[in-house]
Amino acid sequence: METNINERQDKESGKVIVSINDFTLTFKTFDGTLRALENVNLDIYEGDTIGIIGESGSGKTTLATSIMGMVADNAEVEGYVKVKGETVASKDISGRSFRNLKRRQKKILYEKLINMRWKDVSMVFQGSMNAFNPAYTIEKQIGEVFKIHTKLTDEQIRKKSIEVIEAAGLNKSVLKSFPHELSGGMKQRAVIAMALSLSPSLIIADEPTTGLDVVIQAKIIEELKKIQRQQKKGMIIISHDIGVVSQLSKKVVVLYAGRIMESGPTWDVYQRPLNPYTLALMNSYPSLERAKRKMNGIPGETPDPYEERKGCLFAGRCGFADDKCFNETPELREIQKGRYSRCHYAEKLIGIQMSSDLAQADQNIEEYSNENETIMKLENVKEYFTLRTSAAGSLFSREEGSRYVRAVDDLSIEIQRGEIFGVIGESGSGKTTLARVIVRLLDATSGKILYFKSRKDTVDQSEDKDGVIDITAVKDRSREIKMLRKYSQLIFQDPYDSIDPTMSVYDVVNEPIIAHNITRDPLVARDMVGNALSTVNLRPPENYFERFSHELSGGERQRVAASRALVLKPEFIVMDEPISMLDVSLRAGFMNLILEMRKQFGITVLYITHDLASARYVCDRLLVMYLGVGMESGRSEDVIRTPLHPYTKALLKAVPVPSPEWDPQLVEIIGEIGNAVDVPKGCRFFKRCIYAQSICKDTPPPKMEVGKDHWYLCHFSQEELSRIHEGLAKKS
Amino acid sequence: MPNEEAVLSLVSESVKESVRRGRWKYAKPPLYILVAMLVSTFVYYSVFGIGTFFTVMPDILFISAVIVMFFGAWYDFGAESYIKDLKDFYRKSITEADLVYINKQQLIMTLIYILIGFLYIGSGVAIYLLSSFIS
Repeated sequence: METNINERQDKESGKVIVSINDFTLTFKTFDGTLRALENVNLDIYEGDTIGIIGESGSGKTTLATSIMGMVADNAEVEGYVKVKGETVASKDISGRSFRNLKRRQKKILYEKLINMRWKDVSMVFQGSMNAFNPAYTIEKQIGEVFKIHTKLTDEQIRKKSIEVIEAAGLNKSVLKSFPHELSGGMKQRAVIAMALSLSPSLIIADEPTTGLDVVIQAKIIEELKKIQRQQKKGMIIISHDIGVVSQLSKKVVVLYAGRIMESGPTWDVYQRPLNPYTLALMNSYPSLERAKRKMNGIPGETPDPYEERKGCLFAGRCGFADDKCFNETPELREIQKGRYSRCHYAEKLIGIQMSSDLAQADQNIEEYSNENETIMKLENVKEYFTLRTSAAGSLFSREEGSRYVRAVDDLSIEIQRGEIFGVIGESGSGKTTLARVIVRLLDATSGKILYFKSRKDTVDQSEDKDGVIDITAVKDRSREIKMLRKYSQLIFQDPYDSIDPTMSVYDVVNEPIIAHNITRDPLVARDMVGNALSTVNLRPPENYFERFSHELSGGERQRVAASRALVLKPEFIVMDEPISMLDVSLRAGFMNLILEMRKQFGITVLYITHDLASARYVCDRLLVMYLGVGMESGRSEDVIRTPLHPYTKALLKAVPVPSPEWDPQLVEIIGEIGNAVDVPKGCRFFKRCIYAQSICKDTPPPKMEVGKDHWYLCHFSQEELSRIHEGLAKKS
Repeated sequence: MPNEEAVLSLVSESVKESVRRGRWKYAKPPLYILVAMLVSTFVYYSVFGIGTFFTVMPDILFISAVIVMFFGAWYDFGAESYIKDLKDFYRKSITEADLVYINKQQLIMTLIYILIGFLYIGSGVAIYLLSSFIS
């Protein structure tokens, strides 16, 4: 039997809430036996906070649902999971064995599970904020938990609901709201309130901050920390984000292909990993506090869960692996006090420390040197949408009532040829609208977007002597718009949605060639498709021609999307959150691909993201947007290292970093992003800015230029902001 | 901001256009029904030879005209749900001027429906006169 991770200190101090012993879970499917968890041993004590990290498919959620006693009918279980001494999953009662139980036994088991769920262990499921019933108010949905599990009266339920919603950091008025009336962050807090309702000893939060903006994420982390502090609740945090896990857990378990690869105190595991997989995982994604080093991702893919297992499962992707790793299965051993690792050579990793020095930035990533040749120039671009979605809306909206959304408002930027220009900001700040306006998927309400063609085009198409196209002025179906469609391409956020599942990879990549009538010769088209696939490292391309999107991994799909964009050799690509749907181990690979594409073809990229670390890694310059307005712009390193605008400072502080100094309460921002309908007359950020003064309310802020290419939109210089900050500190 | 006036005039033009579209959207159903009734009368006469429609249809059209006029007078044309949307979804406050504007638009719609009602009556009279020639 393998060693429990927390036996060293907690056995004396606390009561075991969850005990997992030699737990192996396999699923019987038509394709064979899928091994989801293997020999997992874990004891969770009262008040324990444990983080579980790992790639997709590593078994994190399966482990969590097993603790809740939710084992699928086609599963086979070895070992057991006990919650407060009661077995909730074992060989005799779970999965396929459940069918063989007598009706009375099933009834007893159901009652036991109903009593355990929510009262002893509750769970915040992944994406559960979108699982609220849209037809019921939040009060009714939280009240359901009390109605099913307690015998409280309606009045008592109402009081309890108010208590839990306030404990989750929300106002009680939220109870009367329907889910669609709440923002993502509020919905997530309402789900947490639901999980807290019966005061369970353990809360399992499965990716509690995934899909939320950094500011909201920081607030959710703050609420969860407060709950840990005040109510001494045990927590299991499942996430792929090491920053989130490090902030919310004292211990961390690293899962890979269903096996625990490493476990130990969070800071130790982060700073000194004792397993190559943990090391690779930590290195596969850039973080704000680490230097801007070249990331390599984790090569290869996770092992096929249907295949027979032999040796270390990570051996195929591990740089340290030798014959022993491929043939002998390593045991989870205690390498140092409280540190367990499943590696034959874990001792060799002692002493390897993760670097975390911001001063070492620019070490390996090549700096882009622009030739001062502009490819795109935006002059006072505005994109307003009127609020008239229904006939009634069309009829009753008053023109003088300013019922329009200022999605992009008076934006002027210049993008240099060959640079990667990043646009960052929260959801609703107008990033995607800006991208759509630039590629003329939307007509700008006003302003100019000038596209400077390359010299080659100017010669080829002699009638455009100046070589400049005003994108906002060209007519639909004109030659210019066709040219623009050819030379500017898009890569969308979700590769699972942006590729037609009924088309083969060849057809997907060949489609732009047909649409633009580039060639009618199938051999030439085949060469072009092959080259595009090779460029994005899908080699040999012939192996991918006949495959469909469901036969590809997430990373491969996004590469196919990239090759579709590249096949016409565009000059300009808009990438709208291209890595947000990719697994953490694949992100570095795709980001490197973007850098490689720029280096090889000189492509200009407009990179849209709300992930600041990835923006820092790939972008040369950044524009920070807030409610349709550019708040700050400059070289990415300048913006990240010396942010000037209060909004940029707040955004950067909101990114959770694996450091004990990080405190979500230090995020200097008020509330959540509003809508772009009722915007303040003065500074857009006025309502959320802690530095706000009376001038900010009514007077639009001037552009303050600091150094070359670095500006911010604010009434105050940095000295004045520091003085205001000191004044605020004194007051508080 | 330099282009503010130009943008607002563009927006104002788009508002006017969408008000026209909104009115047309609400006016379309009774007009389509009227056209269908008239067409059916002629189809039944010319294809099936049933001439009684010419004597019955003026009465039906007159009753329909009254229904259309009353519908126009009673229906709020989605104003209530629009106000609710503004308050709940867009978190906007409704001013006195907003309510006056909404009432004005409702009045215009009611007048349009009354006008359509008169179109029904006019069509009924026309068919009645036509029927005397046919019979």
